[in-house]
Amino acid sequence: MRFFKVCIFLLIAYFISGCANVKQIERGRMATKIMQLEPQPEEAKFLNSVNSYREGAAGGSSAVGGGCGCN
Amino acid sequence: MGLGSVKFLLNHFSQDSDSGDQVYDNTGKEDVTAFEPTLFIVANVDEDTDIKANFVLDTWTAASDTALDGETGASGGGIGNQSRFAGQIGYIKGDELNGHSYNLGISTEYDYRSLSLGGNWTRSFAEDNFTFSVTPQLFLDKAKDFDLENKKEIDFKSRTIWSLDLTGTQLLSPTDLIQFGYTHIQMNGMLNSIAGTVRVDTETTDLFGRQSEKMPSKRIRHALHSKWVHSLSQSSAFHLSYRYYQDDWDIKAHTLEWGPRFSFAQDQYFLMPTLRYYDQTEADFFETSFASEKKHMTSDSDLEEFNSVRYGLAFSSEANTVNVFGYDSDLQWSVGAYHTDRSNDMKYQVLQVGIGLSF
Repeated sequence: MRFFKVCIFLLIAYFISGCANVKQIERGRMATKIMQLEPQPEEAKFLNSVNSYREGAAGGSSAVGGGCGCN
Repeated sequence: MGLGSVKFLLNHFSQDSDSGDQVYDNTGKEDVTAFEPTLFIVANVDEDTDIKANFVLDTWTAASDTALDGETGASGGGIGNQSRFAGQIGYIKGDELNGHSYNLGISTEYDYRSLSLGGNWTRSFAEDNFTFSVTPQLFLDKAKDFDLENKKEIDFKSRTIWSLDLTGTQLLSPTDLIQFGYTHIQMNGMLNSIAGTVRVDTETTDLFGRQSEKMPSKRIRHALHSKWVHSLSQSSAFHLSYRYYQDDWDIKAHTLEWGPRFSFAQDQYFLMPTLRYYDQTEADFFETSFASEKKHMTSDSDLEEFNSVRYGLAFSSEANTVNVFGYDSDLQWSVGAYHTDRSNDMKYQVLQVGIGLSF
């Protein structure tokens, strides 16, 4: 648990203190579908559910495991 | 501002396995076929506000359930087709710096009920170069179990699940986006898999020498997750994601997913092949069979040590303008196919077909 807490603290501290390194005018590509973190959110919802009930792991992109008797 | 969008997505899941040691009649058959049509609706209330809803009607046939109920159920014919209805409604509000959303969901099937509440709060920092989001969720579920000794279903018992996800997203350069996050999940209550059983060598009363699996009543789960999206050109990119997971049932897992992305014809078409690798250790109370009864026992193949590889391909078409009931709208459609091979002799496939309209 200590490992997780240290990782989270360092990540949050790093990002919040980060300077603005990409200006608005430079973000043209970020708006395209190929640059989205999840380009197909509706399709991903079902795939993530399958992962959560066919695998011991959950969290992150996968569903957290509630909502159906699948697992 | 548009009026909103409607999307219909048909999901099909099929699974083949003869190696499920949790299956009651010792055949190991875990074959499952499921259809899940889902309707997604988004209504744009104003520039900063959306109302979202989705509705699901699952139907499926599961060989393992049929084996259990075929032996013990009052009908004697086994459970043939089962179904689940689920719905979720959400309210989303956001401006340039802050966003928040709330959702309420229900789900009901013959042996499982769920009420879920969730939210999300997002704030941008450093001229939108960094975004931090907090996502809590609560599931107030109820599940039936099966009493093998007395050959009857046990009334609904509660299963409570809550989770908290903290995620940060950072623009690294005009062509790079990364995300890091942590998810904490806590589960309490009746955590047995419905109809999950174990073979106990000293069991003498059951026809197949079986007892119901016995899970701990609590599970604490942690996941650290990350994703990187890199643009190669105006029309191509790739993503790489990694997740490390561990819980107090002694399962540790690594998940790695990679895939290029392509757009064609001025972003009208989108193609995304993916490769996903997953590896986990077994739960500390997992055994394929037990010499004698123990406090906690499971033979669920999903909690066994295994690795899996998933190959996937998704394709979609965007923005073909059509006229629907007098409104000009954008028609989108998508198809996807995914095949997973698991090292403990299970294979499963997902097929997806979607069609949507934006008004």
